[in-house]
Formats: sequence, C-alpha cells, structure tokens
Amino acid sequence: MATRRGLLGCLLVSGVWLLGHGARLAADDTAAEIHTVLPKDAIPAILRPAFLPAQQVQIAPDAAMIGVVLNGEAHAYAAVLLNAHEIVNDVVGGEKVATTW
Amino acid sequence: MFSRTVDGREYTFGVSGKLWRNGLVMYDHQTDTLWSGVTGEALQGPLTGKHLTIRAAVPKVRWRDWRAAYPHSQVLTSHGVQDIDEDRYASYHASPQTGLFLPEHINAQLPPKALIMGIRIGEQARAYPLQVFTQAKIVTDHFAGKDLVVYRDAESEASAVYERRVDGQLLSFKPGPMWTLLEDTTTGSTWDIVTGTAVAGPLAGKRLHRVPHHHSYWFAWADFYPHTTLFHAP
Repeated sequence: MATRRGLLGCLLVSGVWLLGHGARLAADDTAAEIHTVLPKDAIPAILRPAFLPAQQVQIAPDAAMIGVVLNGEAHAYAAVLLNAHEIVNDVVGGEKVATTW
Repeated sequence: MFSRTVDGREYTFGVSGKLWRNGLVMYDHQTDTLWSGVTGEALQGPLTGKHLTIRAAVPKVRWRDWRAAYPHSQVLTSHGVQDIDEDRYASYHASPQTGLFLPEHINAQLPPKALIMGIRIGEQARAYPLQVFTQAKIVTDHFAGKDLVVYRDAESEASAVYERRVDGQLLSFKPGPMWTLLEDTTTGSTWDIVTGTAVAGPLAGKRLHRVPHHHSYWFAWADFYPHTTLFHAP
C-alpha cells in the first residue's frame, strides 16, 4: 500500500522555494505573511482520536512519541502520526485541547 | 497543547494548508478564523485578536521511557494512517534546507539548523541551544526578571523549563533517578518534570511555575523573534 505523501512533504523534499512576489510587504502586515501552500484539509487533522491503553499497543520501544499530561491524565501520540495529521483535537483530563506538532 | 475553549465556547481545528513564518496555520471549523499553530494567536478572521491558552508542554520522548513513566497512558492508534513507520519529514530534517520561504530575519549566531529550546516571557525571547545540554542536563539562567531552571535529558529527549523560586525560596537542581525526576539540592525534595510538582521531600505538593517552551530550528526561532537572546554556557 503506497504511503500517503502530501504535497507539503514533496515540496520540502524537492527543495521548491516559493518566493511569492509581493510577499515581502511591511513586516507587521500579518495578512501578507500568510502563504497558501496546500488546499484546506489536504492534511487531515484528527477530530475523533481513538486510543488504546499503553499496555495493549504494539509500538517500537525507540519510537518517538509526543506526550501530554493534564489533570493527571496522560495521552501519547506517535510522532509519525502527528507528522501525518499535524493536529489532534482531543480531551485530556476533562479539558478540550488541541495538540500540534 | 492549546485549550480549544475560547471565551467559554469550544472550537475544533483543521489544517488550513497555509504557513505563517514557516509555521503551521490552523483554522477553526466554527468561524474559519486562522490561528498560528506555533503561538496560538488568531491571525485573520472573525476571532482575530484572540489567542489560545497553552495548557501543557508536549515533550517528545521515546515510547519505552513514556510507557515506564505513565503505564496508564492512553495511546493514539494508527487512525487513518496507512504506514505508521515512515517519517515523511525525515529527508527535510536531514537536509540543509530551511523551510519553504526565506526567513525575513537571519541571525548568524548559530548555524541555521541548529536545534534550540526557545522560551518567551512577556515580550522577550531566549533560545537555549541543545548543544549546551550535551555537557549538562540542567542549566540555570536569569531571564526577563525570572530565575529559571532549564532541563534537557538527551537520552530520553525530555525537556522542561520552570521558574526555580518557590514561596520566595530559590532552589538549585540536579538530575533525579529517572528522566521524569529532578532533585533540588536546597531542600532535598524530588520533583516531577512533566507536572512540575514535588512528589517527595519537604516541599512535597508544591508546584513550580512552568515556562512553556518550543523545540525549533534556530533559523525559524530567530525569524519569529528577531530580538531573541541566545544562552551561552558560562
């Protein structure tokens, strides 16, 4: 099964430099500094994460994880998953949170 | 990790496909406002001027270290991802390329792709090169009027930044028996680095004030914060 490789990843790998003409407007003009690289949702954020207890998952011991602890509750996300989705909308320790990487 | 609640309302976030200063720009599904995924500030749209509250640090650690420290942790499964073993950004990290867009501000004090831990207190910004932590896991600093302890364990890649004054008492720290723990040599208390709470000793139950930090390439941090200072080991 082919691995999903988004346009953003291809642009970074192939070294395409996008110097938009007129992108260098006044430094404090926030709107001019926002560059569109991909269509909206080309990278799908996770909206309804599904979890397994730590004792049940099969993950390589040296795998990079992103961890959060809030109000005593711990959630971990494989770094490669966050690379693929960029954002996880989650609830941790009773609080509605978004983890980005 | 940002709170998704703003002014009492819940928001959900997607990937806008846009970059702001080479950083992720999110959008919320409820108002289509654009938000910086780095600073949490609303950049454009109905909620411009608002910002998302940072609720916790997001340390990157190896699975075996996290599982040992948090055996009851919930773990996100491979939800919708075909191949969990590939890192799509591996070649970018290995290359000298610095993002899609040339930085506006170039600061040559470090090589562009040197990794740093960056903090911001008020309007001031400071960067700690990861290079510093190959010599010692703990760095003591005074910045923006605060006395800080900056911790990074290269082995587990765990990191934390805290104010080291508790109830007016200034604490000195050394590494603890495992990557999640520090010990203060002032009172002999043991501190959990993820929550900042003393778990043993005379100060058990006390909590250090955490300073949020990011890991970043130097070029990106210096572009975001052109006025940043750079920590040098004494």
